[in-house]
Amino acid sequence: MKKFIINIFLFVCLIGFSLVGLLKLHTNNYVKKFTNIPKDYDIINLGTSHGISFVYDEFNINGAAFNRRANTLYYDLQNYYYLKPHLKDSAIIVLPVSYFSFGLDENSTDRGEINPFVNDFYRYLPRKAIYSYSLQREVDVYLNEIKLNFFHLFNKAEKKKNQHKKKINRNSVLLDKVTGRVKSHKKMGLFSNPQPNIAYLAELILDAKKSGYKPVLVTTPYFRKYNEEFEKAWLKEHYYKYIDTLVNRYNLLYLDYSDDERFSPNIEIFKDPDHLNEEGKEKFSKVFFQDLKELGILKRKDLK
Amino acid sequence: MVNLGLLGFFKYYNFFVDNFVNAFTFFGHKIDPYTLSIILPVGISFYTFQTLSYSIDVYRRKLEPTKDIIAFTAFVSFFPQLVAGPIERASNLLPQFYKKRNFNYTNAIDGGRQILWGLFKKVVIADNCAKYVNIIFNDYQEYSGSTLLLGGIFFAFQIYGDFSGYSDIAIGTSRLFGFNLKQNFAYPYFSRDIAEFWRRWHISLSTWFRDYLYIPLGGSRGSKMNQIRNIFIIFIVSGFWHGANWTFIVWGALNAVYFLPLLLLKRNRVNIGVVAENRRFPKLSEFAGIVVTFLLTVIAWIFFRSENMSQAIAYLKIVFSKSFFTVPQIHPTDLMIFIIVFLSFEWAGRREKHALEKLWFNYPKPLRWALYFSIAMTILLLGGEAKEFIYFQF
Repeated sequence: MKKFIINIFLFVCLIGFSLVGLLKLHTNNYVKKFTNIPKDYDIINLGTSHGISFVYDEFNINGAAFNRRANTLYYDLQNYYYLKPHLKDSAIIVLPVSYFSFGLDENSTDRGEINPFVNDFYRYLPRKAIYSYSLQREVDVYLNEIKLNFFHLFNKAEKKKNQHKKKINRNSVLLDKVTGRVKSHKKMGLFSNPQPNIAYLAELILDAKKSGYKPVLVTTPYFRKYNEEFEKAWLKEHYYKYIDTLVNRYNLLYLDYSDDERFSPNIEIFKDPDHLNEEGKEKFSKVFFQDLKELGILKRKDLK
Repeated sequence: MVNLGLLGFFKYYNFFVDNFVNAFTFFGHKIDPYTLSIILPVGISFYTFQTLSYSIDVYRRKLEPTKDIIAFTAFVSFFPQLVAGPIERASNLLPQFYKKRNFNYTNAIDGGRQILWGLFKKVVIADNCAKYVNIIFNDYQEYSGSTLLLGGIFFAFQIYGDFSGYSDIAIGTSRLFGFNLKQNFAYPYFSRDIAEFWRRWHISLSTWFRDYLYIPLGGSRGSKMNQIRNIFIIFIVSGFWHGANWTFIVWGALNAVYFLPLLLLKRNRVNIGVVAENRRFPKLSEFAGIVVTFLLTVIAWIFFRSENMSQAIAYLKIVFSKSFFTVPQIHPTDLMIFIIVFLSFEWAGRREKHALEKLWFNYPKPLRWALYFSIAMTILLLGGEAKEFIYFQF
């Protein structure tokens, strides 16, 4: 029996060490960002993929983007709590809210099935912060990560092969995408009852204010045709109604660049209908930080 | 009667009612009978047959009735094989509960190897096949005949990996506790004819039907007509055992049709031993026999996998259409490699009770460990999406 137990133990250890080795081999950028915070920040932004619009290093600002594709307001709140120890006194919390943010819901099946959305949160958030935490899911998350890392070893070669893809007419592709994107964003915007999401955002704002931080609500620039496909009534009903409520209730600073003349008509600064490209991000961030300075929110000390 | 009554009530009541309704409707009478909305108890077909074997053996005075209630209930509900077999005989398993079991290192370590191989069959072969089988069977109208045949082949490997994988895990687990269960699969896809296939596939069920149904009916004795009748009865009942659906019944009947020529020509016991027992590779004639037998089982599996008879017939119509001679639209290279590796291991271990039993035994220990390590890592890293065992539904 002793020999059997020793052999099984050795075998399990061998497997265990190999799995841990594979797990450590590569960490995705999102998890890396949250688990390896090099300094305390003067300004951060949360939000969905639209939060990529903010660039900090180029403007010598001590800040970082902690947004996540299709992130829910629930996880914006949890990420904020997680990041609090890494914020300087009176830091600025930029909260980019997308048109679909109030409808997103952790319970909706459309999101629950998509692995990366929730999986990454298991990698750094405390268990009590995970929405519907389950041990089985946690095991699956780690196994999935190990599998991805294993395949990552082979995919490097594959990526090199695909690097010489033909250039395509970017602008026409971007225009073709608008209707489809708006349709899917409208659907996301109607996933669930928005009240819990408003409550999460309100909790974040209240806690930030109480802690001496400066929360700023922002709508990032969208390409004009994207905006045009959202009916005014839809936006009022599913977006601005809630924004107005929060702004009025908490006396909040809100900056709306969604249809700003400086960005929206210019197709050249967008990489798709609702995301800025590198040039666009820089152009927008410059305007945004200038606005914050003029409003007295961003101070000289926030600069690096 | 109680055993069969429970099985009939839970598993077959709705089937008979539905078919009565259809028959009455056909003759212009509409009836609205009471149907049951109940969940089929997991593994009912397995433990019903296990308990029946005890009752029949006691009735036939082949077995002394047990006075040990603990041993009897443990025999009926023995956890490793409770939900999907192997269907054990009281004469084999019950006495093992009476005696004290001592830990046996060789037995336990081989049990561990069998569990590992069972997991490989289930997670790597069956679950990876399941992905493509579901894609192909769910939208079979969209695919060519060659793709549908490939879907059937993948299902053949899925059901084998799934069911024999479970059996290996059950047998291996039992061995860790010092129990020896019957071998349930003996490399059925290396069979040279259908008769051999049925001696190697789900052995515990085939032998159950042989001992408690086929032989009491007269078996292969009596007139030709009686022999044919017996073969059809045993195969159709075997199909019906799997589920209350015409697809299972046709699957059974089709296997009877395959079997019949061998019986009538008295060639059903030609291939008894292990294929290419003293050789590395089979003879050309043996290889041809293996391929033909496999393809015949694939056609039968199409009925088994289909939701209903119309789907099975429509599926087969496409398989046997002109589009059979085209390149399959789906050709997953990784899965093909898994299947080739799997078949190579099975071929190498075909003389043993499971493929890993003596594989690489002449090699140094580190190499053997490397093999087991690779199999375990393949299970963890390359396994398909988790799926419930198919035979849990029976």
